[in-house]
Amino acid sequence: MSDTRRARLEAIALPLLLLSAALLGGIRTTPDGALVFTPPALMALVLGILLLGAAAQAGVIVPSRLVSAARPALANANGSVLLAAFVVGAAQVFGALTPSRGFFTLVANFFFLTALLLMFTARPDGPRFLRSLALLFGAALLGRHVLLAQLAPAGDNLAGRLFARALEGVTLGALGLERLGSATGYVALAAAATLWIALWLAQSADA
Amino acid sequence: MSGGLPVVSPRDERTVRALGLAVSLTYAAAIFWVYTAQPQRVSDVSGAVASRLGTYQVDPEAFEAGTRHFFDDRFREARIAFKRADPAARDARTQFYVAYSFYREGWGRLYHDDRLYEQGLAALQRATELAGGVVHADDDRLLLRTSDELQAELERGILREASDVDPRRVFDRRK
Repeated sequence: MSDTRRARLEAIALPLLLLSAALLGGIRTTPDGALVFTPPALMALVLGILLLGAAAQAGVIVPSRLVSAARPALANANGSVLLAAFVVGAAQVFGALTPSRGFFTLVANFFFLTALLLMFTARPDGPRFLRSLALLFGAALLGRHVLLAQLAPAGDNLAGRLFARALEGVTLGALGLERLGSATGYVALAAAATLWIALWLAQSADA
Repeated sequence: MSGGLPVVSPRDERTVRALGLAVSLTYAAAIFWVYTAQPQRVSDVSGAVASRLGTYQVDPEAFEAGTRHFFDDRFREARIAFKRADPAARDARTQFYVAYSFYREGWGRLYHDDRLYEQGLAALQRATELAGGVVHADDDRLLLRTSDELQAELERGILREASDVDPRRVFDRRK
C-alpha cells in the first residue's frame, strides 16, 4: 500500500469510522421515540482498552506503529486520534451491548472480560481475531437486544407488563429490565458493524 | 496497522494527513457537543445548528395561537402551539411563555401543583440560558414580566413554609 493511501486510511477513513461507532454506540431510544446519548461507563472504557491490546496482539492495530518517535508530528497526531477514537468507539460498542443495570450487566461484563482474556491467551492472527470479534458482538447483541428485550415490559400490552412485573418481583429486581425503543437494537448493530468494518479495513491494509 | 513506517515526503500525503486531522477533530467536537447537549429529537439538533448559524426562526402564527390559548387559560393547547412555534426549544421568549403557562396552570387558591411548577422552572432555565441572562417579556398583559419574577413565584410555590397554611392565602391573586 502506498504512503498516500495509508495516510488516507489512517488519517481519514479509520478515525471517521471509529468516531461514528462512538457516536452510534451511545444512542438509546425511549419507547416514545426520544433520543438519549449515553457516555461510556468506566468498565466499558476498560474493555475498550483491552480490545485495543487484543487488536495490537493480532496485528490489526498496533499502537507502537501509529505513534512513535520515528514518525513526523502530523503522523503521530493522526495516530493518536485514531487510537483515542478506537478506545472510545470500542467502549461505546461494549456499552451498547451491555444491559445498563441489574444482574445481566455483571454477566455481560464478565462475558466480555473472559472473551478478551481468551483472545490474549489464544493469540489469534488478524482474520481469526476478526471472526472471534464478530461472534462476540453477535452473541452480545442477541442477548441484550433480542432475548432481554423480549422480557422487558411491553408498552401497551397488559399481559406483557404483568409478566415483566412478576419476573422483576421474583428476582427481587435483580434482572433490571429496561424499556428501550425498538430502534436501539438497530443502532447498536450499526455501531458494532462500523467498529468491525474499521478493524477489517485496518487488517486488510496490512494483509 | 502493522505496515512499515510511512515516509512523509510527498506534499499530498501531508495534505491528506492535515485534512484528516482537521475533519476528525471537528467530528469529535460535534459528537462531544451532542453528548453534552443531549438533544432528544432530530429537530433539536437541526434547530441548534440553525440557531448557531442565525437562521432559526420561530413560527409567528403558531406563537400567536399559543399566546391566544395562554390568555384564554387553555394552557395545554398553548404549549402545543408553542411547541409548534419553537420545535427545537431555541427561542427564549417562547420558552418564557411555556414556563409561564406551567405557573398559571399549576397555580391554585388552596395549593400549587409542584410537578407543573418544576416543569415551569425547567422551561424557565432553558429560556434564561438561551437569552444569556434575564428574559424580559414585552407584554402588558403579563403581571410577571421578567424571568427573575417568574422564577421567584415558581420557587415560592414549591417551597414548604408556614404561610402555606395561612388561610389568607385564598385571597392571593394569580399573576
